[in-house]
Amino acid sequence: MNYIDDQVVNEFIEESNELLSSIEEYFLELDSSTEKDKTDLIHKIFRAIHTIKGSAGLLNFDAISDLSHLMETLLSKLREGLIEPEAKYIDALLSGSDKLKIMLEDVSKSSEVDSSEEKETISNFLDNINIPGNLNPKKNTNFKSHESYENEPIIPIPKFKKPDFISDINELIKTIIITFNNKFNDLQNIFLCIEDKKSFTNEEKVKIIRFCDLLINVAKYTHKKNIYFVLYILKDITNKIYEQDIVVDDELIQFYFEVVTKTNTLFEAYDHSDETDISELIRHYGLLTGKLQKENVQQQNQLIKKEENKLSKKENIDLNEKSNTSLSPKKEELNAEKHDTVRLNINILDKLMRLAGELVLVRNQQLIKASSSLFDDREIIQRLDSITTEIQESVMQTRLQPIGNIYSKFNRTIRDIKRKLGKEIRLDTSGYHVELDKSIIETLAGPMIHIIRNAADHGIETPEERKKLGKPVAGTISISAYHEGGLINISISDDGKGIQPDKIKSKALEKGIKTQTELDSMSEKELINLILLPGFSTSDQISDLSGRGVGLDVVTTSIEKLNGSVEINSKPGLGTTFQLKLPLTLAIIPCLIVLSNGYRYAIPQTNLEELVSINSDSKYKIENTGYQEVFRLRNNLIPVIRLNDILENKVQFDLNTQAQIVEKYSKIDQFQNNGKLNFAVLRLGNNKFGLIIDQVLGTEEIVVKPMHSALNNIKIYSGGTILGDGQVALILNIEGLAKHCNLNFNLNLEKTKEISEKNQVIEKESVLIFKAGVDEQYALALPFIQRVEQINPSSIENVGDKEFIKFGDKTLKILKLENLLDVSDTMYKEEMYLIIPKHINLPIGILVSEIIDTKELLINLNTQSYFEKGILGTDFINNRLTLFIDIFQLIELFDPAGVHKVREEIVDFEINQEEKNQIRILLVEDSSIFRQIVKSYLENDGFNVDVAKNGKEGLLKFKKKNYDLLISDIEMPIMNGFELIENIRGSKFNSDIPAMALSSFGSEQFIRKAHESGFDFYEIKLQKDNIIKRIGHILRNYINPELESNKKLLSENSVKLIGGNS
Amino acid sequence: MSTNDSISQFVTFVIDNNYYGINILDIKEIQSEFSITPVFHASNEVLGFVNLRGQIYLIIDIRVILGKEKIQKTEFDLVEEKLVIFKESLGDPFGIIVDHIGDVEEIDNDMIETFKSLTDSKNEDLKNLSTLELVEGISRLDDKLLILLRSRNLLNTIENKH
Repeated sequence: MNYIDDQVVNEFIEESNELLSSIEEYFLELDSSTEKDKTDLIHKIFRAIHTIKGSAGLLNFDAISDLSHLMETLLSKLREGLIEPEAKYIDALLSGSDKLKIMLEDVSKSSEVDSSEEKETISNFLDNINIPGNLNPKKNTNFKSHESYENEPIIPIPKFKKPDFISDINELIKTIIITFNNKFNDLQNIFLCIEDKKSFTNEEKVKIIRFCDLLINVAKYTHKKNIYFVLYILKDITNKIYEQDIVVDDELIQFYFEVVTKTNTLFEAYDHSDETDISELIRHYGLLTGKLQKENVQQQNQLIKKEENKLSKKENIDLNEKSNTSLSPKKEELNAEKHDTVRLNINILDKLMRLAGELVLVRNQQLIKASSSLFDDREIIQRLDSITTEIQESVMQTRLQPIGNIYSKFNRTIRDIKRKLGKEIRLDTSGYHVELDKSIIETLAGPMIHIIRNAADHGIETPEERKKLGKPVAGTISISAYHEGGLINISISDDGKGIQPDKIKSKALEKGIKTQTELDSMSEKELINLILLPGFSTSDQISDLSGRGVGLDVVTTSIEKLNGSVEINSKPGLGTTFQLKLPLTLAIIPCLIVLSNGYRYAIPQTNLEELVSINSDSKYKIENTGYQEVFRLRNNLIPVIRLNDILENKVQFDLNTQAQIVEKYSKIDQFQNNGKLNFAVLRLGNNKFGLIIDQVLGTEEIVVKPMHSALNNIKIYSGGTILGDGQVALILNIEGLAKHCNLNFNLNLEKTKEISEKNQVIEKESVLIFKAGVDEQYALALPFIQRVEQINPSSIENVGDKEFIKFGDKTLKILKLENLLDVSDTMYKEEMYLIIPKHINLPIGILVSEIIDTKELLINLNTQSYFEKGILGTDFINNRLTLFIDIFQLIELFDPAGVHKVREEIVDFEINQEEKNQIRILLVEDSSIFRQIVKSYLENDGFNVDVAKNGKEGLLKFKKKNYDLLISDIEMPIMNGFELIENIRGSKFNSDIPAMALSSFGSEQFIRKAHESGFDFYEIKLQKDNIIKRIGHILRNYINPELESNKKLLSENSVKLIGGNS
Repeated sequence: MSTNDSISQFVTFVIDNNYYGINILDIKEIQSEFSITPVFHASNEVLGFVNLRGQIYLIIDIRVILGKEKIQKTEFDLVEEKLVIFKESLGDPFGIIVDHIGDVEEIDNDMIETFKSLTDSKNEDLKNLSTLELVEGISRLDDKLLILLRSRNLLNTIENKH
């Protein structure tokens, strides 16, 4: 009993909802339909509301039946012609049906919904109508029925009965032409459909019928027989194509196009249209329509006569048209539709879908078996194969619905907006027939309405503004849907004011979403796409329609839930386009199947941008920023992650893991895999990144199965699927992968550029790795080491608080790191080591407990994270954080007095600190260790030092600032020191700057070459004291202003190259 | 069938020479030919996914739950080990792998010792299991001790991990 009740109620709800949505469409059609259609539509609406009222009464839903009763009464007045379907009535009825919808959402509580407002409005109308004096008489002129607030130039075409009724015929012709032109868009769409030889959707059918109606109405109305003929032919052919009465071939399309063109020409020369000869066209038409030829010719002859003689007797022509009159197919169509559809529970479809999936698997197993079986069996299996495929496709289709189904909702949105904002907006839609999964269609409506509202509210200007800008008064929002690359593309564009990147910038700053530097490095497109972020709304004032604090991020979220993506393109002043990309269905998605760690994974095609394969001999390489591997993809630096490492590391990456991975791959050959490295470029919102995989296996349409609930916490997968061979494969969640890897897309451009350039020529440096305390690992560049001695710690002698050791005839002062640096104490062992540094004129040895290795490494010195005097910076060696020793600073810390004394001995000049501060030195050096060392000892001495990593960078910096001295390495990537100095000497700016070459080479030939290239001086890199001395010399003689005369003299005569103190 | 309310049927199986029982009403099917796709990032108890007739099942390594060594192989081709698949009423589809399947035992409900008397058991497996609320009870058969598992709680052992 209860069950039956429930079922009845459910049916009532479903039926009423369907009726209500059709009512809404009818109402909207009312706005733009002919008089005859209007009566028809009102009848339909009336019947629908009547049905709802009846059922609701039967089931005792009083609130629903009360409201619908009132609506019905108002509709009956409309039906009787007591009132015209004016906007206010339609508004009232629309809000009434909205209320009914709300009530239907939860019928049991429908009586709690407050509908007093709607009821009152309708009652008021009814009261007014019932007062006889206030009766709204039906107007004779049909043109007036057009609503005043809507300036849509669609004019209802009156039934033409008496031609002399119209006094100003020319005025009317104009309106007809305007109408025709307006409908021309529809015509083009139909034409496109015909060209595609596709079948029409219901929506298109209705359009065609309406179009035919219009054609014949226009035709009836004109006094020009040629125009009448072409329109008649156009209508007839359109109708025939629609009825599938005629073969659509190239000839027909050609002809159709001819007719359309002719129609246009005739309209253009309206007054003289009858002077054109169209007999050829008519003959062609006769031929094309084949067996109807004779009848048609006769008919046409008849028509011509009638047209010429008895224009008033149009009814006859109507009779003649009976065979293909526009109204009858429409009715048939509607009737047919009722019988052709069955309401099905979606669960049954889902089950069918799953079963079809299983069938495919069984089929696949059979196929594998068949390959080794008898020939006879194969035939059967092949049939099974094709039938299974067909079943699967048909089942899939049951869930597909044309996107046109939601377009109708947008008309309503636009209508609301037009009224509220007083804007003129035209909605242009195409691609009705593009089909999408039911569940996607349902979810899609919300975000699309959001975008449309946004476009109408923020995008399109007011009519006044548009006039000023020289744009058409009515703004256009066009929606189109189409297939591309196995995905559904939907673009929603407006011709409004577009998005101002500057506005976005200031908003992002104001809201603290991005920093100035981040913003500066972003492209215009990236800026625009910022509006998709949460908490972003650029509208200056919050309006009722959009910008209720809910930003476009809602759109992004819901589209991404559907495995789709959103992109915005905008041209200030011209308009904005939202581009949505979606999979056809959620249940079956095209995926790229890849191999990693020996297992297969699926990457949804929606996320896939491209595949990149690099060979070992290619100039392209994976580079790194120390914490992140990167790849330069057509001048865009994208982060690159490795699926194998992601899978193996369960814990979300931190900087340490990232550094380890980078370290790991910088050591091994990148191309172990057949000399190839494959990665997929994936899109995540507006960012891209690379995912390195072992192998690309191909693309496959996979059936998505949701992730097991027990594993929902694993973010790197979005589901599972079963591949053709019956194995389970997991679908990767791109966002999850990026999060897991702690991906940072704001790669600082400057920094990354420098990294990649540096890596073009791989710079390796030899270091000694050792330990002193328990914790730290140290490294010291080999060129700074004279030798390493093994010692017995017992032979260390203490003098006061100092320790010494004797070596032959020399006594070395022992330096212990923990005394100078904030590090753990040196461990004492039986055998210890003493590192004796080079280029230090003091007898010092560094005591260490363990020598680990000497290595030639790619060093990427991090000078930011660890800052202490005596330490150059840090890097990872053998997965361990390693401190790089600054030997000069260390010695200075250890024995300041000794260092000073040595300096006094060799430096025979003194420049005061103030002068030093004003001297700008440009240091060009590729090795990060030497760069850091030379810079730090020059800076310690009080000079201003700028650095550059190679000749090219050096040259750029040189041109920007007026430097007093250039110090440059010779061997450098991209541009070496010789090229640099040649460029400088050849330039116009500061070309006579004193320049000192630093190198580890000391041969005569080399020195000469340095001289010839334009260097003034030459020093061995590591001899700090000599360098300082040389700088002092240069400063005294060249730069010091008082000695200006000297400068000239010296630079002309006494340039002497000094080749070190060997 | 002539079973009365006080008799339950249990499917018995062996893991590391211990006997376990699962109520036959919880079991959907038993498979001996399957191939597992491992799930990286999943907790240790998860062996992976198996496809059976278009349905994906999560396979739990009950050995890990019992504190034993994890199963290493992923291919099972008509072997001694069996895949026990549970009914959908217990949650999202899942199954466990056992060393081999024994007889179906009919046990009088009165003969089942309940959980409370087990907490101080000397049997390590039992202790492990009882802390996870996985033991329905135990029953003494002629020559062996049968541990009756509460299959409903198997999935929780993974879910609770997180």
